[in-house]
This record gives sequence, structure tokens and C-alpha cells, in this order.
Amino acid sequence: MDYYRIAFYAFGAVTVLAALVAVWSRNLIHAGMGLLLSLFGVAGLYALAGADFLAVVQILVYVGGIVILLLFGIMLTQRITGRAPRTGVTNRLVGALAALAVLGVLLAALLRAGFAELPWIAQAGQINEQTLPPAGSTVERLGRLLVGEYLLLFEVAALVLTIALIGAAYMARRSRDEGARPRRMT
Amino acid sequence: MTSAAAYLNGYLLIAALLFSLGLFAVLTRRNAIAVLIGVELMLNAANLNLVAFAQFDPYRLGGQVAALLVIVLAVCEAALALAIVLNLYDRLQTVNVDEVESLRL
Repeated sequence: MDYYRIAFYAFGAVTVLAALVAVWSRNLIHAGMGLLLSLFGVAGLYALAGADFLAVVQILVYVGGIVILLLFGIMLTQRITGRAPRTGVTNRLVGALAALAVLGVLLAALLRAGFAELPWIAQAGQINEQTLPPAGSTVERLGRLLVGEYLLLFEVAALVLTIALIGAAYMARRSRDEGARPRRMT
Repeated sequence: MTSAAAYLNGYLLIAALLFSLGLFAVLTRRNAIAVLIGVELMLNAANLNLVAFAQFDPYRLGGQVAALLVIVLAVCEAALALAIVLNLYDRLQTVNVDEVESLRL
């Protein structure tokens, strides 16, 4: 279990520190890279929490997809080449206060709730000590759930994904070829 | 798995930090893509909570299924938001969210 502790602290530190970089850096490329590293850390935490399939999905979809999409967005929307793409900052005081307030509320709730003593969580710990923990991969169980108990959610998610991607592809067309699309969307 | 409960607060603490950082980015950045980075951080914080609690429900895995759905919706959101940002840049030559003031371009 000691290795678990080391890995947990390492992944947690990577996640939070990289998120700090992603949030503080005004250079958009640095922010994107910070986000990438932070998402890697979250994938490690998923793996430690026994969610192996989700860890892989996190790396494939977030790190391989969304971060690359964001970097494409940065590339396509910066006018001046040869200069680092930077973001402006507004409302710094209000934003910091709001974020600190939310953090304070979350931490207070976390300290007071005592989640580890909740009956079903304590019970789950005992069951796992007595009987066998469901060892091995979660892939089979997740697959059965997705085409069984959660089939409707699965289908709705598929539909939403299709619609969103078609819509995105339609909207992202460049308006250079004026004939292809009316200039104003009405 | 035995001492998973001991780490639960650690997961929740990391998630709370991620969420606050994401909120800070959303509120203070001017560039739309930096705002999106903040949104992704907040979504990940929520997912981390779901996965952390799903450890204690190892047979039904409701939390992990919910986290999968959140990832799918995050993909939709990122793709659509990027398309909107590209459109904005095409029409207004800016992607600063505080300079975009009209819905109809």
C-alpha cells in the first residue's frame, strides 16, 4: 500500500501543479501544455481509483483529442505570427475572490461531511476486506452496463455526439468561399 | 482497495482545487480558448469526484458510467465551442470574450 500512497501523491501533485500552470500562464501554448499534463495526472488518479478503462479513455479522448483541438484553435485564431499567443486578463480580483470562495465552501463541506464514515462507503470497505474485491479490469463490467442497464443513456450520448459533430463541422467551415454558405446565418 | 476510504478525502481535495482553478480561469481569462481550458478543468474535477465515489460501488459502477457520459459531452462541448470560436474569429477578428457583445453578427 505504500506504493499506492507514493503514486497517489505524485499524480495528485502533477495534476494540481499542472493545472496551476494552465491557469496562471498567459501564454496560450503553455496553458495548453499545462492542461495536457494535468489531464495526464487525472488519468493516473483514475487508474489508482480502479477505473482502468476510464484512465485509457481519458488519455485517448482528452489528451489525444480535446487538447489537440484546443491547440488547433489557438493556431487558427492568432493573427500575428512570430509572437507568442497570449491571453488578456480581466476581473482578476473578482475572479480570485470567487474562486477562493468556492474553494472555501467546498473544503468546509468536505471537512464537515465526513464522507469516509458514510455507511455505504464504510460498508463497502468492509465487504472488500472480507470477500474478494472485484479484481481485474472494469472493461467487461462497464461494457455490460452500457448495453444493459444504461442502454438508453448510451444511445442518447451517441445521438448527441453525432449531432454535435455534424453541427461543429457545419459551423467551422470557412466563409472564404462565399457561395457555399450565406454570409449571415439568419 | 482496503484503504480506499482513507484516500477519498484526498481525491475530493484534488477535485476541489481543480474546480476552483478552472473557475478562476473561466472568470479571468479574456481569450475564449483559455476560458475553454478552465471549463475542461472544471469538468475533470467533477469526473474525479464521480470516479472516487465509484470505488465503493464496484459492481454497479454507476459513477464510472456517469464519468464516461461526461467525457462524451465534454467532447461535444469542445468541438462546438471551437467551431464557434473559429466563426467568431472569421467575422470579428477577435476571440476575446469581453469584446463580443452581440448575438447576431
